[in-house]
Amino acid sequence: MLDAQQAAARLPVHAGDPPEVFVEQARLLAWYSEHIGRDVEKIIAQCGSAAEQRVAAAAYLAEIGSNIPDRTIRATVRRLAALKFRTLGVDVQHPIAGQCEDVETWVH
Amino acid sequence: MGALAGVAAGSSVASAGLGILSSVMGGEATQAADQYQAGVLTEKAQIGQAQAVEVNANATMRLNQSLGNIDAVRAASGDSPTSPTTAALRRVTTSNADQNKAIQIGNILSQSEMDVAGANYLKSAGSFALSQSVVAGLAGAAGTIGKTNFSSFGPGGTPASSNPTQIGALY
Repeated sequence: MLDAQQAAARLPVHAGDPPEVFVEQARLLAWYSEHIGRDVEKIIAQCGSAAEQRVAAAAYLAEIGSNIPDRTIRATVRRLAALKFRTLGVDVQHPIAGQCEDVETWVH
Repeated sequence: MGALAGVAAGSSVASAGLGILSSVMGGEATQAADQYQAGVLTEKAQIGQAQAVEVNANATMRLNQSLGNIDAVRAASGDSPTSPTTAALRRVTTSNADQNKAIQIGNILSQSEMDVAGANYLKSAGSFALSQSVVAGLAGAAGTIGKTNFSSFGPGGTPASSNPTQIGALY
């Protein structure tokens, strides 16, 4: 899990950053997108019912990106994962309470 | 009469006992089913968590590389990512900016997902159309073959010149 001091010491990517920062962020997100896409398909294949898929998805979302010290990127990675699940029909609008920080950034 | 009443009372008690036993066994079965379902869900949660842990582990090198590059870009532009002054100046606007950017990124990603879904649809629709055209072509060919007057072919057939409606008969 993420070291709290490490996360607090680091400024997240923000609107005032140079454009190159966003390019780097986009590259990183593309890497995550590829891996998350594969994981989501694997999880759905291993879970038969919708309830099982929801539970597995919530656990995945609670864990994914927990080692990212930048909270903007962390929230975006989780949002991306939630989007992948939703695209494939898994309802992840109600994550397990208290297990996922930055929930407000990826749950509508 | 007394004996009959005793038998009736006995059977009533037995019936009640069986009812209780049945209820208890039903409850135990439900409990076992619930426990099984809970176990299955726990297992699935562990699968999801394990996948995420694996990605997190694999991402470490890539993540450090990206964060290093971000720090390098910031340093080149004169920003120090850990400077208290920089932090104090930016803290006011960071929250709103992050929220706006998260929304924008989310929209871009949503569009990207929709594009992929659309591409997949078009791909499958294209294959379907191709297969339909093959079937239509085969059906058309079969119809043409079915309408062909095979007796007009070969030495034993009717000469084309004797049928003025046949193509080429008049030339």
